[in-house]
Amino acid sequence: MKISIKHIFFKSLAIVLTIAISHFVYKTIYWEPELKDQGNMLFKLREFQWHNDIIYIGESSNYWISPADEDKRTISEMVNDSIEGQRLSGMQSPAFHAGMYLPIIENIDTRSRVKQLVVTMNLRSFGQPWIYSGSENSLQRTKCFYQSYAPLYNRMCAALGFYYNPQADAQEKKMLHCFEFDTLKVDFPLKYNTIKSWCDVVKFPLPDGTEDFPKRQLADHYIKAYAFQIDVENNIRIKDFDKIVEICKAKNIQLYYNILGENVQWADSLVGSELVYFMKANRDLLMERYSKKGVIMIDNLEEVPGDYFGEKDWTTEHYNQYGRLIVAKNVAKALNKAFELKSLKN
Amino acid sequence: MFLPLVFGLFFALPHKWRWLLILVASYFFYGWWKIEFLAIIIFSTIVDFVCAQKIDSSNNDAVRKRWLWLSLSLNLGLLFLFKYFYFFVGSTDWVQGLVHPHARLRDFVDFFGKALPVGISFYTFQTMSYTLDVYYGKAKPEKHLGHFAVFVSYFPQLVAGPIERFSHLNEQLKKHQYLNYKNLQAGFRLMLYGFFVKMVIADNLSYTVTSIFDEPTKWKFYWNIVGVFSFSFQIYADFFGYSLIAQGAAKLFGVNLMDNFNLPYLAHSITDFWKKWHISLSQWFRDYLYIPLGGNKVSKQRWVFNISIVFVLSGLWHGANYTYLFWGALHALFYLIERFFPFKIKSKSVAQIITFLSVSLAWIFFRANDFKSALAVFKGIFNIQAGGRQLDTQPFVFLLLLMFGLFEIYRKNKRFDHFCNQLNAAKRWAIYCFMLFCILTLSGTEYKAFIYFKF
Repeated sequence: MKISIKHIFFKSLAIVLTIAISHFVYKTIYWEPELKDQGNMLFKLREFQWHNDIIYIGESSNYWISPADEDKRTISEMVNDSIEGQRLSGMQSPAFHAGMYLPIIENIDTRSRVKQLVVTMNLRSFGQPWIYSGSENSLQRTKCFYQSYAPLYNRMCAALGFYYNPQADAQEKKMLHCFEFDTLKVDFPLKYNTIKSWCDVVKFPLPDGTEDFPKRQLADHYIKAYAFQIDVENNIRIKDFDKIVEICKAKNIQLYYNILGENVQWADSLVGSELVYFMKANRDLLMERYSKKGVIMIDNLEEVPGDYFGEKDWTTEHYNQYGRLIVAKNVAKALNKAFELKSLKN
Repeated sequence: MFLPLVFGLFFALPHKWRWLLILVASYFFYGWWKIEFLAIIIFSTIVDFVCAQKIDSSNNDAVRKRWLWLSLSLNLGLLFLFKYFYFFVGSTDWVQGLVHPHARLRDFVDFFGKALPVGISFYTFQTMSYTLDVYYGKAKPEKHLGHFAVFVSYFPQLVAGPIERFSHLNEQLKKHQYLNYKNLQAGFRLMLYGFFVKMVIADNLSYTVTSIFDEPTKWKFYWNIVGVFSFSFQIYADFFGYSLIAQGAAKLFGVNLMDNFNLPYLAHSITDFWKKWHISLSQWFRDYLYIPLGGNKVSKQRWVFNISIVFVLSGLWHGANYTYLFWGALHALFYLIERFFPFKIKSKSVAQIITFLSVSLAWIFFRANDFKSALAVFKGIFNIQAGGRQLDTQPFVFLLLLMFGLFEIYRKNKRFDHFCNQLNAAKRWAIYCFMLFCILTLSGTEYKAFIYFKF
């Protein structure tokens, strides 16, 4: 068969035209509903950024409400009700971390009304169980929809699996490796210098000679979630939070990092003061690092009493209405203070 | 990027080095999943290469048989170890109790519960067919280990078939191939159609199927019926799509892989269905199990036994689960009923509908995670009185499915690339552009691995 240049030209043209038409049709008809379903935070951002001075970005801590709560407001709604002269809206998605917030923040239009951004800083998200979480795969797929490329390209990345696609068993293997070999280095005597060795010795014997297994399981969760030291050189979350700082500077947005309250009381009573030491040390490191970078830090780590946590059998940042109110008040206080200072300057 | 790179290098290299490129590419492709499992495929290759040489060089039937048994037992042993050991042995209370106090031993046993080398059932059957062919004198053994390794690991069909015969594939792999426009055209056509079938039809149906099979009691009864039929089409589109992509990729290199499907849902009997569904596996079982067992040249009782064993094993071939075994047994039952049923259905359409319904019924056990779930789907279908929720599906998915079905019937048994040859350029390109448009805008947004990859 003879192949002419004309032949190739018309065939290439047909392909290019099909892609162009597909893009147009997709963007006009399918993109909005698909974004609402698959990339909800970006969907919300596209509207919120034109009607809000402040955006509050977080994970499930913002929307989790205890069935017993009379006040059903989310943290961001409580904050919005406690600030004056400014409007704030919250966007959240379960299990999101700084790496997921990053592309959303990149999408904030510099011409928009948003001049302040509150980002939740979940201490557990710096630890191995979250970094090597089995849900990372689906998060990364969602991330495709937040990329700042053409919507059709983003869609094809998600459909064809063109994203960081860690296998759940490989993730688990890495996590277990860290539990066994990542040593905790402190300047006081510590009996157990790895998560594994620590979990191995924590026991809750009962008078009948058996063990209080639920309590032991919970203590294990606490150790796995909090017994780590943030390595600022290599921790992936640090890199993501650093990038968020850079982006906000470039977009001229005042950034707030909201260190979420953890159940320090339970950590202390279940495992002991050594675990609390690591929680506080990591908090102090983050406070210092990001204050120096111009971020306004809101420290809620020890603010929420143990009884205000909604779930007692797991390590979460899910608070009842009183817990949410404490966090919200602290965020609002920081926002109001900055607003007053700005007003004074003006 | 992998395919264009290998394709470019293949035609840039002189013929004598191409086998090496394909071998490296195939091992890279396989190692991408889990590099450790490369050792298994290499072991299998060496065993069958040596055994076939020994079989061929000996005139003593006992010696030949010994080498054949060595090859078969090592291949089946590997298959058993990685696919069935944990299910039938390792997970039993007795073994678990025995290994539980010994951490290393427990980890060793549990490893086989988690590790399933991709495509092991496919390449093991392909290499076994080689030694059997050499033993029966149907094929001459390959003298070059590298060429043989390419036959075993040829990347377009490595992970999910078609299960090729040595005599068909090896000669093509060794042939000096030239860059050929017709091959490129056919290859791209097949791949385009394959991606369309997989991404637009199969992946879009997966939402309905997963919703129904995960929670069968949640939905109104008719959604369970929709779910069952959706799975019939999902698995067909998924596997047929893969086969087309494999054929297309091989065609780019000038290699023709066998057709694995021939409109199976238009079959007018279960016998006919198995001539049209996963043809390479059906033929494998026919040639290497059914016929050696005596085929139909045996007593009626023995024949019933032969049929039952072939179907049950073909079910088990898919995986270590009683649901697969039952699926195979159900097909055996349908086959036997069909054979011994005193009345023959005269209307072809009625026979086609009955066959399709029987096959779909059996798919329930294939798809369900366990018997309990399969029975729950059944219960859901007949639970007309009960409430239940509506499933939020996209109607366009079923519209596309209808179009796909009509197109399949229209093109009859002509392979897609041959069908396109009949059309003028405008019609051809209208079809290509429509498929590309559907892939880009209407495909499922969630990446789904091919269903048969897990077998």
